[in-house]
Amino acid sequence: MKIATYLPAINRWIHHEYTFTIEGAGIFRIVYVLYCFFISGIPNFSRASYNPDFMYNPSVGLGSLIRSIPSYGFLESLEIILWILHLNLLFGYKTKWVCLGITFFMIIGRTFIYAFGFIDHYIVADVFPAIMAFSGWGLAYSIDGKNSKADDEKNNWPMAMIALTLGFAMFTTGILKVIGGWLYLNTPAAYGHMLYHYLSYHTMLLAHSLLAMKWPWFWELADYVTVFLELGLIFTIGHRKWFLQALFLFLLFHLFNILFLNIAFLIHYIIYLAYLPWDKYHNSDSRFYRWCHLITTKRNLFVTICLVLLYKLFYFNPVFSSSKTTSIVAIFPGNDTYIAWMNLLIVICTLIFFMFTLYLKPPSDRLHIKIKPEQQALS
Amino acid sequence: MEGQGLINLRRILNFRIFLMYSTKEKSIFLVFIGWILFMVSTFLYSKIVKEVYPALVMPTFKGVLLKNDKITISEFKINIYFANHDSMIVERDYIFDQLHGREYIVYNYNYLLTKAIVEDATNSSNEDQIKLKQFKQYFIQKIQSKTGRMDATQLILFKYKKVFDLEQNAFISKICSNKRVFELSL
Repeated sequence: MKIATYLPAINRWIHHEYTFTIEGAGIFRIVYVLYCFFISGIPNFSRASYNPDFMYNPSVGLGSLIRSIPSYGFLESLEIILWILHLNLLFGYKTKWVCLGITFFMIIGRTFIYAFGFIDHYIVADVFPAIMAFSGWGLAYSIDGKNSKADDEKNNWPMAMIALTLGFAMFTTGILKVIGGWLYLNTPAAYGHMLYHYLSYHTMLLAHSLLAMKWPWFWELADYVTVFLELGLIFTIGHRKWFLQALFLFLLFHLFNILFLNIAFLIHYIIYLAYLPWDKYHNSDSRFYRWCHLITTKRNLFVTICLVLLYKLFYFNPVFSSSKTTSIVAIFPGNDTYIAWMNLLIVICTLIFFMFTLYLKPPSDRLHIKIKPEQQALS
Repeated sequence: MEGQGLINLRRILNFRIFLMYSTKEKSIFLVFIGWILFMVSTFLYSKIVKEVYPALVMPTFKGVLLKNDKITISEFKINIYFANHDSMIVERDYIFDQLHGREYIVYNYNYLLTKAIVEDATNSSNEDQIKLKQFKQYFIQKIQSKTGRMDATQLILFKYKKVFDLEQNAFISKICSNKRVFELSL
């Protein structure tokens, strides 16, 4: 066996499997930033400064270099920087450096947040902008797109790298379940998980209805489906079509998780959406395109940043200050019913959008149908 | 032999094909390899920290607790459940709904409590013991300030009751006594 014989196939996969257009990527970039602001939310790091100092117990890393929690001002500054960087990304100004900056400041902020013991599942979402920085998603619907001196270029490989990262992340969760005994027939692990969440007041939506379900084979099936999905994603990354089908299954999986366990991973949905053919929504004659072209100027970006900073400085929102993020889901942090229903609404909307975009005909086809009689007449 | 090995390796890898690619393709290829190695190594590191270390600590923990006359087996199960299930006690509780960083408090509390149980039993004392005391005071003070009617012990008992209720249905006992599921929850 010669490893090198696989090199052309690997090279083709890296550069040609996950192709996209800069216009499609530009539309996705706008959706991504809006999603980050309103659905998944920009993290609220400053609330960590309210914790007492003795609880500061960082793992190995940046956090261990200092002995106590950073000041409120420092953490608040990180948030403001992230807000500014996201606004820059929305307008597509210096996109590559802005994306790298987002990941850098996210990781710094999370380091301090995680120093209190709880490590959350945001790493794929945090590295996502840094990888996308090299994709050239700031070349359309953006300030960079108008600037001929912009140093960005379009690359397909970041999409392949994110697919690999997502597949590997899911694989690690699956493999730990296998090692932990999820697949043993005498361990209803999914049931244990469900009970654990139920006892932790995840009792909304359909959670209660499953509590009485004691049929062991049902729970074993749930164990196997979970592990199969998590382990399987990495084997689908070879083909875009397979990967998209797998992502659709994952969205269904998230829907069931919200319904029965009340767990939502909102930040992951937007990464799944990155693989949709966004170019279907591009039309250079559309009002949206012209509006984007008009609005993406440095002056407008500056005004928007000033307005957002004024909002942050003068309208100190107690809701956002006590919430984890700026997400609409976090508006009422204690209201479990609201959170559960919002999460359900978001996952259903994502699922519908996913299906709609997959099966929507590309603009060229639609155009072709329209002009076909004229073409025939001309010919 | 070494020379033959190198020749075989060179044949297997066949670098000539790789060298035919453009500089950009080669560098991206190397970035991918580096990224895969980074992901695998961080995963292995976290696995060692999360699983190998507790696997070394927990048998001692289990042994000490079972030998201790003051702690019954059901209490042991509950302690395990308590120590390793982050939101078991306060995370989603209305008491902490408005409290900043509630999850972190719970996680740290569990971590310190697990350590303290082990260290109490072995009559050792260190910085963590002091931290635990500080934390307990903070914990009780927070709960009292939020509710004005419940202290930490009552709250914990209140939650224990929920577990016991389910234990009668033999759900939790199976899960708690199952070592594999327990290890996973670490």
